[in-house]
Amino acid sequence: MEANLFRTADHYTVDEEMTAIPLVVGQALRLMAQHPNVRLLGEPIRNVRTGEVDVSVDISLDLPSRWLAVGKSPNGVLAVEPASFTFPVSFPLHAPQIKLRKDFDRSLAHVIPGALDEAPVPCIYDGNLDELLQRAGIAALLNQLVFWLHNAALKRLIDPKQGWEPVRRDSLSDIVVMNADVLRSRVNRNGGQQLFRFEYHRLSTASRDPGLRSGVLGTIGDRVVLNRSVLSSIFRKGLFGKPPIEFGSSVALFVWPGKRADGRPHIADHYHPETVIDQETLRRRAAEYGCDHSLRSGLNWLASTLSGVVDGFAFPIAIVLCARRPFHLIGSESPLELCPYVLEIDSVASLGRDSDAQVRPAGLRDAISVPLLRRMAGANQSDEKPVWVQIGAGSIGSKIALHLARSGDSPSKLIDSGYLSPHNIARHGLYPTQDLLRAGWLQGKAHALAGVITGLDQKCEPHFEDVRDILQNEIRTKECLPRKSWAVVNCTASLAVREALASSSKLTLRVLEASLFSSARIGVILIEGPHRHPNCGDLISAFYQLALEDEGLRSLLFEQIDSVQRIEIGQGCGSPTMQIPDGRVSMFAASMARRYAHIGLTDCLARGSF
Amino acid sequence: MTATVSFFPVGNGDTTLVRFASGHTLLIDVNIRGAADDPDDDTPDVATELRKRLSRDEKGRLYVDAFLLSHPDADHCRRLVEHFHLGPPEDFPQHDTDKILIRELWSSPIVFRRATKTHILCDDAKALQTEARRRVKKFRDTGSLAEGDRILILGEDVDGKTDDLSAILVKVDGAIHSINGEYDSTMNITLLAPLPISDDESEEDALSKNESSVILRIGFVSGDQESTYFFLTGGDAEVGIWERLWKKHAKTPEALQYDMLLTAHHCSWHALSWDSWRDLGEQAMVSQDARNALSQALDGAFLIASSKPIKDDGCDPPSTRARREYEDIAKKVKGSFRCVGEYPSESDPEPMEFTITEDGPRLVTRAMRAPVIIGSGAIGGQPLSHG
Repeated sequence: MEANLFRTADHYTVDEEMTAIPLVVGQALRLMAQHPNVRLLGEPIRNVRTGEVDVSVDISLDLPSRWLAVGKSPNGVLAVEPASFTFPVSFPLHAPQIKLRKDFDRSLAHVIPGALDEAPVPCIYDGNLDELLQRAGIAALLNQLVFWLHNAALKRLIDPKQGWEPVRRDSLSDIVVMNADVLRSRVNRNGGQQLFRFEYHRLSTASRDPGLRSGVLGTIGDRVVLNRSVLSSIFRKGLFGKPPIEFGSSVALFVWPGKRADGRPHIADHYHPETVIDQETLRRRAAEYGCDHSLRSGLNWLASTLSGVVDGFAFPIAIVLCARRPFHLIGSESPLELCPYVLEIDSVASLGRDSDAQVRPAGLRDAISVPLLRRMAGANQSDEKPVWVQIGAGSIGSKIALHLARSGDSPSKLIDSGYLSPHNIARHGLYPTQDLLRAGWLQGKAHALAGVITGLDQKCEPHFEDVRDILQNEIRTKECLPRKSWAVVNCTASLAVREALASSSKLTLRVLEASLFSSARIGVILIEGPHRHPNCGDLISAFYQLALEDEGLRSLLFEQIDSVQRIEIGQGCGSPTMQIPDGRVSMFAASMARRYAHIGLTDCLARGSF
Repeated sequence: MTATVSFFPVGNGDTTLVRFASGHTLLIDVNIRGAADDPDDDTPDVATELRKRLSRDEKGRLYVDAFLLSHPDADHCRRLVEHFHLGPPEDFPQHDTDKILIRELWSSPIVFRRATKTHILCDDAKALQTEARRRVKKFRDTGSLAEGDRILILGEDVDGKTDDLSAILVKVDGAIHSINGEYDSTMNITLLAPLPISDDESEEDALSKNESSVILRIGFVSGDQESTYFFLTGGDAEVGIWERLWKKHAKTPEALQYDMLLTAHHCSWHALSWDSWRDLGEQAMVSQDARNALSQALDGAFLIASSKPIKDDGCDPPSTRARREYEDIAKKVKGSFRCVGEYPSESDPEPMEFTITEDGPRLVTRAMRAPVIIGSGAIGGQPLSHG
């Protein structure tokens, strides 16, 4: 860096020399020059063609004194590290791209995957840089870069307390969805490999539509035992939609490491960014993880099973390498890192060692599971799932059930004796997909809703029955309203059902009721007391009494009693319901679901303290 | 735990907190300026920053294991009485302001001196002198001391006045391995000064506050005992003391080696020269012996000035000429010179902190605080929302 490139904070004023540099970039450069670790800021250069502004930055690092004396850390991070910032035309709506020198050691982790002949891009922030820029400004980006460089020098990018940083794979086109816990549970000390079903979707032809994912989106399912007799049921595919989307199934090969020659587990304790592009690099990566033997065995078995397949056989298969790290991964208690790839095969030859078939690193996404849902909801993942029964799968009931299911606390049983009808969609928790519109009307509400809940990885048993009939039958009552449940939630808005529940001597479960009144201006939650005293019949009477004493409530509840009307839902068809917008139902359903989640998960009901 | 050294931005003054790997804390001097209490004043709130870094004992009291007053000048003990508890530990106020308990007091023998025309003490220094005498008396009365009463006398007094204090006395060139009565294997401290009165020095000169400064070479011993890094700190010791130290250690200069140096007297020219910088300017001569004493920098050493920002304005301290000398010393070992008052910026100085790593002291990186500029021209940070 030449001395005449030196710029101080004062230099970056808007003057004639800076007219080519956008004002906002000039402001950012002035701030950057003030950073205590910025030793030198180069002359900004504007790319005439793209409008981007490039500027070099020399960052002085606070290294231990003995490293400063030799000018670098033992792992090669320089006491003064050069970096480059490229400000896009859209700055500050978009953050500048930050790159390191080309020969920066990529094994120091937190490097965005990229070609080896390009300058590495440090992953300085676990989030969106554009948002960080908006939130905290250019100084925050520079601070992150400075901390990143220090951590690289001090070998802190991978911190045992925080956890092992998995290889970055968050910007890849192909996505493999899996239940990581299931795969990890297969791993033993001896190394091995297993095949699983791999169900995938992808565009059958290239599309310019940016709204469509360009890679393979596949989900690893159950384990399969592959032999010639099941080939046709596993390797199959079809097309649908426009542009045509290929959907099909193939296999995912999962391989894991064994032991070293000395009998100790093979630990992959060096970080290397993703570089796999073909089978050769895949095998090298597998060798690094200690699972090359398992990979070779798995591919050989696959090749022998597929030998003799006809021309035109072309499928993506998934390969998942498992690396045993020296300590747990970030956000996980397991040290097993799963690294998925997609291999395009069109013949047995493409599985061979010398094949030039493309291997693409794939992003990894957790499959939908109760732990994932609980994690996203900020709930304790180890809490036992409460068993509860919901009666009524209409608008308020479907929304409550789905809110709780999305937190991993779905009802175990759903009771409703109605069918789905198009007008339900106006306020129902379910949405009309193309296929649901055709087939969904054949289903009862309970079955349709339970089907969606099953997709949320939770068991929910639908019962197409009138709960009043169930209560007449002791055996059915035990089956549909099991005593081990913590509650029955009544969302039917039916006076008759409330009465049946309140008067039933067979029902020992406490009943909770959710209902809306006066065009959803009033929402009511009833929670029966211990041993069902008082019951919902008593409680609703008390509510009416309270409402009578309150002028506002009285007016809404009793003077607009015709808010439930017969609404035409088709020629010659009507339905007694309220004309209310979906948002108002959702508003009440959301808060009611939160209340139920609280009392259910904290087991207040069992203690009788709510 | 990693050892740390924190230099607080107190203008021309010293406040240095040393925390050893054992967790023991040694506070050297305090200069807490009253202006910091004014919310409209930019003076750093050092009292708050210091308290953030201290631990509390089982009674909820903030404490330092040891407090050293390098010499009784106001800029080394300002507002001590207000922020620290002085007196018997049993009198520690229960419902008062959040005062800091000094478990063990480290003091030069100057505390035994009566005030003279040249030996004038500020109120804080007088209070500390009283406290030191209280602790010494208690030792003489009881023969042992407990936490809050402990005292260590750094250097012998004249005329055998400290001969009966051998249990609480450290002689020059002696080592300190204990703090607050506990042996600490992570520290290795050598007392280099105050030096005994020399033949050609009057007692009055020797007792001038600057010349009586305690000079310590504080060693930080690594957990595996394989490496030790040194911090040399000497209050306001001036050129004569450094000359004598060099003469004494010229054949064993390793006794003066350091990885961190708190440049004496806030980067004063008078630590390096007998000449007046104001009067002679560039003609002022450096004392080679004093410079030698202060030049025993080890590879990559940090030389630190606890002073206001250093300007080329003829002021002393801090002296821009002294800075050049220290920068030259640093350059020879690929080290660096740092001014606390300029860190991370002159307009917004913050405590300058070092961690003592297995490869030497390392400056703790400070994040830059700067306004956010967004497309709309609005300034200021924004909270995150969820969509």
